[in-house]
Amino acid sequence: MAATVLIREKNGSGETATDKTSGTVRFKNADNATVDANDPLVIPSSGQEYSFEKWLQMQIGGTGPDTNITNLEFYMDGSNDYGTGVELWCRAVAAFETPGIPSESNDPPEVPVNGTPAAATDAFTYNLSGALSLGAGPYSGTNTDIGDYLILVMEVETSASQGSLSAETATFRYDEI
Amino acid sequence: MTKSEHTDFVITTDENGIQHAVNEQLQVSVLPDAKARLFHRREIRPFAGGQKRSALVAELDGVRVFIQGSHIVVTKRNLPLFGEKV
Repeated sequence: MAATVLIREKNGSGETATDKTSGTVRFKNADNATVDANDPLVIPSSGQEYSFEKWLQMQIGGTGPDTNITNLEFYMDGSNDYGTGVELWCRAVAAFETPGIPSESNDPPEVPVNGTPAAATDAFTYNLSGALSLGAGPYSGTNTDIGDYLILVMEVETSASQGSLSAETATFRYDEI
Repeated sequence: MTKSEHTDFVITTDENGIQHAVNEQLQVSVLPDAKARLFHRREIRPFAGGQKRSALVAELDGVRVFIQGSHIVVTKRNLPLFGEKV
């Protein structure tokens, strides 16, 4: 039987987890997993505005793999369709930190990589043939978090248009025996 | 690939090191002639309603055979399981 694998968003200093496997991740100006119109990103008059970091991690749920899970990867569809002035940045990291807003004096944004700020990468550069590794594994067991955290940050620039954006397609990939 | 998801395979390795994947319709065997792997490749799209796709993959020396229902593709690429252009 196939393992149950979940994608969970982690929030707060206590790393509160919310299952987003079938859900929406809403980029906003608050550290929570709620999908609503509160705390929206505001188009800046100069420079750029960053969202709170979104920390996502894969988890083996109640059903584990027969042997193991390996090669966790993340990729986008290769095309940023958010429109002018909106970008999505990402980075894989091993250690959790309370989600925050990256300093808006840096572009690209810097996110905490095991305690040290480091530049994030345009998420749309990761695609089918060049995905971002979230851990080689092997991973096994049940109800256990696996692999690195994926940090995502949305950037809004002065040239962005007002309004809600259409969802983009992100894919988590793994191998299972 | 756009075929519907196949029934999952049971993957085993016999005493000769040959890996087998078996379901109700098919048996796939990979001989240990070179660097060989037999596994399920799975993809989840959490921001698109939690869609999931799966394929059985037999890999021998970097050449992959993706088996998804009755659709079989031989390639060295990472194949999209959701049906986009390769």
